[in-house]
Amino acid sequence: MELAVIDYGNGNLGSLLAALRRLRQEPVVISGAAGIQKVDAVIFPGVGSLEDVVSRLRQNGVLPWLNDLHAAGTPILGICLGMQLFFEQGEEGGEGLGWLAGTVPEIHAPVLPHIGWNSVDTTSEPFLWQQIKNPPTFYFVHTYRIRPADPAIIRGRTEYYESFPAAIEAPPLYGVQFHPELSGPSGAQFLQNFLEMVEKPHGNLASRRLA
Amino acid sequence: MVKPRIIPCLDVKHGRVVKGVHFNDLQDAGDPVALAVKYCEDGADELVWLDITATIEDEELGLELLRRAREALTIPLTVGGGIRSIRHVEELLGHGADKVSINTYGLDHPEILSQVSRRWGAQCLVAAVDAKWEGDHYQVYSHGGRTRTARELGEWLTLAEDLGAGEFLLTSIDCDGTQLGYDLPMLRYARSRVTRPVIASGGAGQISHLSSAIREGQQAVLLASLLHQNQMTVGQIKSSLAEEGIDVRWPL
Repeated sequence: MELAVIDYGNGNLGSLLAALRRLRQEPVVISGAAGIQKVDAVIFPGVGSLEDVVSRLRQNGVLPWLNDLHAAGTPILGICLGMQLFFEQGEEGGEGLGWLAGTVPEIHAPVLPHIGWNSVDTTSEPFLWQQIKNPPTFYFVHTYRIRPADPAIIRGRTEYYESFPAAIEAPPLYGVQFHPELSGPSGAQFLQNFLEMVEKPHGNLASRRLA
Repeated sequence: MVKPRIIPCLDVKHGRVVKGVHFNDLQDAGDPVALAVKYCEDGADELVWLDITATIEDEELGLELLRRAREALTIPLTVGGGIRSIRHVEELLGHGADKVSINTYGLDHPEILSQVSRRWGAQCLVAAVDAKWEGDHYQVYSHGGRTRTARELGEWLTLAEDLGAGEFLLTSIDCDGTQLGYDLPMLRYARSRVTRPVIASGGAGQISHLSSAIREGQQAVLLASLLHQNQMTVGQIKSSLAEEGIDVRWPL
């Protein structure tokens, strides 16, 4: 499988790349138009700020390619900020990619960022939760949360002073607010489930996608 | 709700763990990579790795150890100790640190805090602060607690937060090494001054010290001598906390 990880230019991908190597993947890191190639799936990692990222993707010529991949139905997993990018706009006016309707407001909490391990209250859809110990518990670090216009895409919620979506599914877009690459065995299983879904597009997950 | 974080701290010097622990099941207790992996497997929620880099050779050795640790670690890793430049931060993040911890250099050159925060995001930057009670206020010290700075604690925390620190690692010089418990009044004061998470550090000598800090609302506690001197594993500590009804990540 050809897997691409988008480097927004900050070069802070160590944990994600190591987690993927442990799953025997050798992802190609895309940081500019020159590196663009044919891929089966894309991961948007989760560091930086919304505003910086979109302008950087526009400047480095990666944005049209991502729009094409999205239009062609290539699975894209957004992690934390990577998922927030799918939406239209953040609270501070930072612009997202606009692939999904919704906003990215700040969490209402006395202590921010929300940093640490927290559990996810999953919905009944299988999503990518297979073989993950219950209750699924992952590592979070974020100040903003998503507010999707369509609540039907939510696959799990987490509570930190308020309840917010922790996972979404809007094929070919998959998004999580937590960091699977920093979430021990549960996080590794989550990434493995994503990779398996990409590799077996005609399995259960895919048939659900067509439904 | 977010679970309290139990964070072991590794002190590394010239590529070896100092203040080491002696686990029977580690072949080489002085190897920071082996110890980091053991903490991770035992249930640490995060790790802090403080590498006292005095020379270029130390720095290169530290980066190689960090790279090896990252390959195996599945939890967040904060690296600090002697950070003096953006280039060094770049190297640490490039070798697999998730966050960097800056102490003395940030006090002397506060602009490094905003530079790191702007480039990599506030979530990447931990401001480490050592402070001491001086009769009527808390004063910030630098150089491992040896040098008194001109900063009052609340003033410095507020400034560091404004400059972009995403988190604080707050060590009480009065309590550090005493094993008599965390400095709860100082932590309360810090909480009243900033809205970023604060990692409590200095003074934990028994499990009840962790539980009293956590019950007070501390979201994160650093462990050093409790692991080093009592020869307890992270797993034993977390299972005791869980038995007390504290919602830690346990069992894994």
